Amino acid sequence: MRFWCVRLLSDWSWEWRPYYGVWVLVAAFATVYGLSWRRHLRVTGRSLVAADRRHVYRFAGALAVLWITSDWPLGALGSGYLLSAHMMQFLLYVLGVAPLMLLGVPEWMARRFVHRLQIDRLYRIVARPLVAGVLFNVLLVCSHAPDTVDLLRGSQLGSFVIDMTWLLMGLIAWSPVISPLPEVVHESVLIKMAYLFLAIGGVSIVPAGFMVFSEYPLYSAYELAPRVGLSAVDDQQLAGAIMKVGMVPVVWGAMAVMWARWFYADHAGDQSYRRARADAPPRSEV
Amino acid sequence: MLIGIAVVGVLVLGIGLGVGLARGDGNGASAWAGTELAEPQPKPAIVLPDTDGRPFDLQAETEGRLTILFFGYTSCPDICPANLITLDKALTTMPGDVRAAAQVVFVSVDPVRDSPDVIRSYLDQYDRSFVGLTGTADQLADAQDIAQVPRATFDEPDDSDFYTVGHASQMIAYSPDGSAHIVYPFGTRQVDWARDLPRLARGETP
Repeated sequence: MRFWCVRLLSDWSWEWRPYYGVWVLVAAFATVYGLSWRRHLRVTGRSLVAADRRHVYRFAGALAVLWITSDWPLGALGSGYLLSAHMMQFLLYVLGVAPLMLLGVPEWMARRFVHRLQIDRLYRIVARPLVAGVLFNVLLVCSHAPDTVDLLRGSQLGSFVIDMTWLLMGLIAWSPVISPLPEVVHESVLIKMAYLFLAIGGVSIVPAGFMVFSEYPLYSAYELAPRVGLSAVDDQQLAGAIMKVGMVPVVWGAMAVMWARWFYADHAGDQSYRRARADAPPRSEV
Repeated sequence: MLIGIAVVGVLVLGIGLGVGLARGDGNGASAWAGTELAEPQPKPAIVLPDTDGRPFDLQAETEGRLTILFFGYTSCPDICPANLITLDKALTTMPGDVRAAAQVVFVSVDPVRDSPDVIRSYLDQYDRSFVGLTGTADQLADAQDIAQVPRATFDEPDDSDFYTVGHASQMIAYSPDGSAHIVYPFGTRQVDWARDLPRLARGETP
């Protein structure tokens, strides 16, 4: 029984293998979240309302995706057999777990969390679009450097560090857009859309391009792993395609939602303004 | 805790990147990706039956050619498939003259399970031009001695009668001059082979 998914030299098997670290992590997140809610409801003397339930469902969704991403079989395949599975994990942490976590944490909980960890100022700095974008992309390049992956995927602790780094990257990347702390979220919709396009969707084209167009495998961890269906180069090309194309639906979907909300809010504002103008008495009568 | 993970993560990732950049594209600063031998090893005088049952004289049949010799077994779960697929994939990216100049010879050290047909089917998964050799236990032990690799050791069978075999994991590259100047340990990558094969095929030696 292992703590975290790690590279193995044995042939891939569909026989289930337990990784207790994943369960402990998911249980720890669920426990802290549940206890925070219990304490909050007791102190405020209120019960869960529809908006609270939405938070809970989103956080539960984040934990479900976290579990699926980290545990067997995807975690095991991604840590030691297929680069394409490794890339799926990256996308799920960054585009699935992280945003769902941010959407699942209510403002009061986020405020208490950053205050207790004494990272209020740090978080505000890190969540600035420019800082978040640079940090995300530096970590993106570092965490996908062949030697980093080859080195870290060989040990359970290293594999854990890679996965948690991706989760942290996701939390940083999405904070300027959907942080539970409203003062951190950038006000301008256009800047948020540009940020999403450039920061999350932009730089990944570079490592993805290397993967797609490289003649030889870049990662020894996956090149020398027992094969699971795909050759090392085919697997690498698939991983590159997943990295690039996989970002598109989430990033563009988020941009579309933001634009639609902004458009309708603006449109509604125009209509109420026109209605107000129409209802107002003529200027000469005032 | 988050800060701790972040700091450790950035440090380790940075170290990994730094090590990677410092290492460059191969195994150290050597001009060759493989491990250079202190003394050249002459191509061993091995004569073993091939997968058609004909005696294969290694020295005579591969004279003047780049020959890559490897001892393994077809049930090997890790080293043999990784070695063979890596070499095969690298060869497929080579120009035709390099491919034609190279001869891969696989000697099975597991005569009980590896019949000639089994060896042939196994090698055909990679490349039909790979030569497969077998023999009696004594012949194979002698062949390993002559090739200066450790003899294979056989583990106890498990409940399903499967057993693993400890065997030399390096691939020995004999240059066209008939001597090995370099060996390629397990972990040699396609890019390493791609770097060395054309030079070895041309007769360059370390």
